[in-house]
Amino acid sequence: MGLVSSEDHGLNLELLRPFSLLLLLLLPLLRHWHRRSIAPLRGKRRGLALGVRMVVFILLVLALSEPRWRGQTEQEEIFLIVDQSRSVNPAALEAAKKFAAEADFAGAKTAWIGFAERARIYPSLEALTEADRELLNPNETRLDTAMALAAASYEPGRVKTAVLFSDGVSTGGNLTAASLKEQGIRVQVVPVMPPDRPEVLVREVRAPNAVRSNEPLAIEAVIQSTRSGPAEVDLFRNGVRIRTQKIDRKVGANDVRFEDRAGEDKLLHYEVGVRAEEDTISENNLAGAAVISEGKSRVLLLTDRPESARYLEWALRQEGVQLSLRPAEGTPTQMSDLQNYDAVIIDNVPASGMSRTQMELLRSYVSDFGGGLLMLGGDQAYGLGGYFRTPVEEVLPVSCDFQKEEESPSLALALVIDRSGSMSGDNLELAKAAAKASADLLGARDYVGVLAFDHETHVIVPMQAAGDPVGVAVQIASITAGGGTNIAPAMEEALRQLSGNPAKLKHVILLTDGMSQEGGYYEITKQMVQNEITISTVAMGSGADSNLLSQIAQWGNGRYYEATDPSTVPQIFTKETMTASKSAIQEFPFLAKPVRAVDFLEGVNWGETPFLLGYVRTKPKPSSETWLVTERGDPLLTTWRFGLGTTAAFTSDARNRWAVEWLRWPGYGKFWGQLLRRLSRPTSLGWSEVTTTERGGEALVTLDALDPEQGFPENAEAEMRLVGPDGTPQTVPLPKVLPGRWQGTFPAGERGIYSGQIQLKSPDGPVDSRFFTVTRGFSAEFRLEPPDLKSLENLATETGGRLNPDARTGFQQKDRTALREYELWPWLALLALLFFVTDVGVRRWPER
Amino acid sequence: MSFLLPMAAWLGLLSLPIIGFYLLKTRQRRKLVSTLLFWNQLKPKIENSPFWRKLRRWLSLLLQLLIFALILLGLMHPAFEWEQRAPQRVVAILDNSASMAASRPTPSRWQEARSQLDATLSRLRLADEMAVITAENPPRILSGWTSSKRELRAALDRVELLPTGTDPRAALELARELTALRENARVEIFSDSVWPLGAEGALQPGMGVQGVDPEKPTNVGFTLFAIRRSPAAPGDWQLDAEVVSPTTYSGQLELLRDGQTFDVTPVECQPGQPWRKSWRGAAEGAVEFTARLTPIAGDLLATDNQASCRLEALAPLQIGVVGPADSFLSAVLDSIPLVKWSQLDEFPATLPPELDLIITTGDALPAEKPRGALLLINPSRSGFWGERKGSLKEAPVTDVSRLSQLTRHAGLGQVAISEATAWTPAPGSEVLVASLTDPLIFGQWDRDPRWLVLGFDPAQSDLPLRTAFPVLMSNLLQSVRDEKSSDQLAAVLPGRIESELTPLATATSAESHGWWGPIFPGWWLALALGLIVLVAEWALYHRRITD
Repeated sequence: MGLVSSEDHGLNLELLRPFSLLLLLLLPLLRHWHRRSIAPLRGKRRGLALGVRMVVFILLVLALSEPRWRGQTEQEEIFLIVDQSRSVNPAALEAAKKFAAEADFAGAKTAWIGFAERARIYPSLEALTEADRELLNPNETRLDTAMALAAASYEPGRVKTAVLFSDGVSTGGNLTAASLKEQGIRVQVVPVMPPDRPEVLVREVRAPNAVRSNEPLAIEAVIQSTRSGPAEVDLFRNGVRIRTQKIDRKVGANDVRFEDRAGEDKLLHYEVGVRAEEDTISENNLAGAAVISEGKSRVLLLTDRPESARYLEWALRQEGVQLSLRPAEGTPTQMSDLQNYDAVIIDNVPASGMSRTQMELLRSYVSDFGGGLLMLGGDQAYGLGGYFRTPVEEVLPVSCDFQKEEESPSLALALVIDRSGSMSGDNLELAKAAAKASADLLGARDYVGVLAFDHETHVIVPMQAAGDPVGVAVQIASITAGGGTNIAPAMEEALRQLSGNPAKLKHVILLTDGMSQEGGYYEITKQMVQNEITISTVAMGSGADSNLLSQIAQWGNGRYYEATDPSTVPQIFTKETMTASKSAIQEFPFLAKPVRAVDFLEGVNWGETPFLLGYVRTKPKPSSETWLVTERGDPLLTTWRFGLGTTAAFTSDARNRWAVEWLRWPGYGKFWGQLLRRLSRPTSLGWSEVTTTERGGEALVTLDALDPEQGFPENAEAEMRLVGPDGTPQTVPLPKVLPGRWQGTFPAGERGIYSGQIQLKSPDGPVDSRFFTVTRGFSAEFRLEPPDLKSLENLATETGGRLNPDARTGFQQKDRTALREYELWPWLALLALLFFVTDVGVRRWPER
Repeated sequence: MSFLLPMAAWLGLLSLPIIGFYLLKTRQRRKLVSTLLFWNQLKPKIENSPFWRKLRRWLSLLLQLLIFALILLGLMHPAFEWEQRAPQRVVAILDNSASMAASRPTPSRWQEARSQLDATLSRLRLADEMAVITAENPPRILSGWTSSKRELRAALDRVELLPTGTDPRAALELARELTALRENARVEIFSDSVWPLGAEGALQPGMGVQGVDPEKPTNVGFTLFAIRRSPAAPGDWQLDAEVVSPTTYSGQLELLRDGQTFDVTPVECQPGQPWRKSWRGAAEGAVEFTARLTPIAGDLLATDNQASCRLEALAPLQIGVVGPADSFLSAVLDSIPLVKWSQLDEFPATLPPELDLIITTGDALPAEKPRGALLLINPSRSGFWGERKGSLKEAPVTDVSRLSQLTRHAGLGQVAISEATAWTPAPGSEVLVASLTDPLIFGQWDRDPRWLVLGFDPAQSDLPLRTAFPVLMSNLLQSVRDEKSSDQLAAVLPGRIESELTPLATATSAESHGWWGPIFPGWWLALALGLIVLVAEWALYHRRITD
């Protein structure tokens, strides 16, 4: 298909189907037929008939060539592009409003674009003003995005003009005036000054990338201020304020310097914060930098009772392993915190003591960052701690459920779940998931019943043998939310269902998120106790009647839980189920029996080990390796590799409860020391180095590796796992770009610390691994950059526009035209029709 | 079929004159006869029109009304299904990544995409609009909204295939914005969807991808062909090649060095498992390598079957030595290849740009950090490098950094130092060698401006007598030696994603017309038919088949 234009020859004519003109070659044929005609046409009429027919023919052929006339037009379309980023908001919008109120656009069509990181078109200024600018992500500025949107959005056949209201400071992208000029877009620029407001910010924090242990280091910060006056500058190390300096800040940049000494942490995250009375934006008052230190090998112990861990701490110190103790509340929430440790021990901390995010972080720490994890036994460990079906259980080499023995007492479990209107949404779904998980944990000899209540009681699953968890799950799934809250009738129904049940143990788990109507709770609970039924209660969220629920649990010889984080409810239910079944804990003296020899058990005299007094029953996972067992053959010490890391499950404890005899045993420290060294992640060989650079919201990671003996590693691959500030792990491709060099990028737009682990491996095994961090501070948007008048002026002048155009007269001058297309074929076809009528007339008009 | 301009039907009134012309009584031509005999012969012909003559007359009317009707039909703008809708706005995203060059064997995906785009273009009416952007990041706007087919075709003619892959996410985002405020706007993507993993998630409902090849791809290609000098020794280079194939490949690689065959090696490649090989050698001069793979039968992508890269010649390091002449230092500098050094009388106020490193000893010290690299040997006073505190007697080397490239293989732990200077290094500096808590070698060598302090006089130690000294200096100089920037260190290749040719999106068929030839609108077909009948009618008339 061809296309011919005569524009270059001064004719603005375009033929979309020029091949049609070939039909004109048939004209001689028309003439030929006419010459040899035997039709009764004579004289002038004969010639006229030929002429008219040829005109009709030519007109139709021309129409078929689909000609278009490209006419000049002065019709203009103006995009008014308003910077909505935080640095100039609302100044840019105000300037645009003022401009629009004064402007005479001389009949031009106008549309508005609001932009920050993203850009969006609005039909009017009102629509722009009312729009939610958060959708544009006002923490960034991308002029190129806005101009690209404008450039592509002009209607065809319009003179293109843009009016830009901005300070010209971009936080990413690359805007080139040449491309706008090429597209015929004239940019008029209204520079916008950031509002003159009191502002103080930490513009930059500098610290060395890496230091040795105990090495002094300087942390230098630049404090930017728009007002003079006093301010306090704080230095935080790993979240703890360690220094404060008082400064007399002047307008502009103020240098502040701190000195510190690298301790034994492996990752030092320094943050500098500034406080002043006069300040507008708080987001820019804190900025940080991460320093990787050689540090010392350390192990983090999360425990329910820090005082009971002193035996282990002392014994490990003798073995050269430094133990850091934290209660459950101190479970790390950031990968950068976990990176300070080579292994983590969970000592009798229930799953409900951690959030789902924290557990997923632990899984990523093991799987992606090669950290070690050890869980010790206890009444809050494994299934008893509610770890069934959690990310931590996924990492462990043992399952938290187990095959109940024939002789263990049977359990009848009544789950009483609030289904009132307030439970709708995630809360009810979590409660249903919790009920299903509890049902799954029960054995064939157990019984389960599920009651849902609002102002009435609904029997979802009548008390029945727990041999059909799938059927129970289907029935549980049918629970829907609605109605008020009345607990008492539901408790009465639970009492009724359990009273006649033959099970040895009878337990009720009651969950609610609201305040119940009054009722005879004490009386019902006492009746339950008389029937040997225990009851535990779960208050979901902060709206529950915690006093009543804790009292019910107390009267009913059960436990009371406050699930302020609803996502912990499934863990609470499974923990309750396991606890109520009383079959997970095995308390009797036994000797640890090694199954086979392994390096980390060498040197320990297993013939002289004292008794352990109890353990938690677990089930080894298929690919795990069990090294120690109890005399009953249950796993005592099991390990496996999970991702890059190694985890272990020791089902007894290391404190003065079950391991009280072991505390005096000479092999106690050696055993734990060797085990933890085995679990700890290997240190880097120092063959590789990671450098990171950040640009336009993206981080570029470069890994350079050099084997000191062999040169650049051959046949090696690099893998990068990354955990962002939100704790979500991801894999980032790291392709090789040069011998010994791998490079990859990832978006680093979110404020916080990005922790990455790069594993370099060859077909023979791991070569080296490197940990790195990227600290993303506040956006450049908050840096109080002065307006970039020079680039704005360049943009205006290069595209033929002006800086600060006159709103009234700036659009009056019509010195540009655009080409607009008009279809010609309808006119040609119409002419052909008229001529054809004439043609018939010429032939048919009677002769005189 | 419907009509976009039904008002044109009023022009049908013009058919009345045509019919009227046929209703007019045809006046008989005047005929003079000489005798009654001749009149009697003529009379029956005049009085009784034969059947054929009547038929000829009606056939003539019918044909002329048909011509009229066809032209009128064209003017009424008959619309096929694809023409019936309200004005259409299409943002076309054209993938110009390297994988679009894949062919089976012809046409290539690129040509197919262009054909499909041309077909979409052909269906555009005057009221329709189209914008074309590339799937690059950032996307290139080939044409903003326009209804001009000429502009669109000109824009498409300007775009060329890239040698590498693209990420379409930014283009999809821009396209979404472009369609946000326009009625009946949609996004059409002309791509094989060989994209980075996850990019398909940016596809919004209704965004169709045309051009996805559902067949299993066959290809083999280089994903890496790069050369680099080793920092361990000047002149040493390593060349790495990586080959991938989405199917099992068995062939060979021919490696040419400066046009001469250097190696021929078999290549065995399994899907998802790249084949890799490295070559090592030494060359101080420039060297160029080219590699070719034996193509596989049905190889879709030719651009990744060959690669070349080039290593620039090594330039000698320029070193300036300030301070009294030191015979040990001179000997070491002389012994290291590709080093040119000169003795300077004093520390220059402005550093000559050709100097890569300044080594200063004793009192010749700079006031502030110079731009380039600086080695300070036992500086006599405090400065930006740290604070001089006093002296140390018999300082054993107790700590040597494992991680620093400068101390590698140097064996500095064996050096005996009889006297050293006690320093407090400037904050931010890295201690490479220490005697207990006292730094012996420290500095800032990981970022510019680079400086390093040798915190003792080598003459007060056995360092010059050990191999540690030349090794340390060699490491130092090697780290200063910048890799000469060359765009050809690594061959520009499509990349693994492109070479494996795995599509991520499922294909959506283009609005099917059964063929990819020119698309003719209804009006055009009506007028063309009218033209044909017009010509036929003219021929029939002159043969007196019609009247």
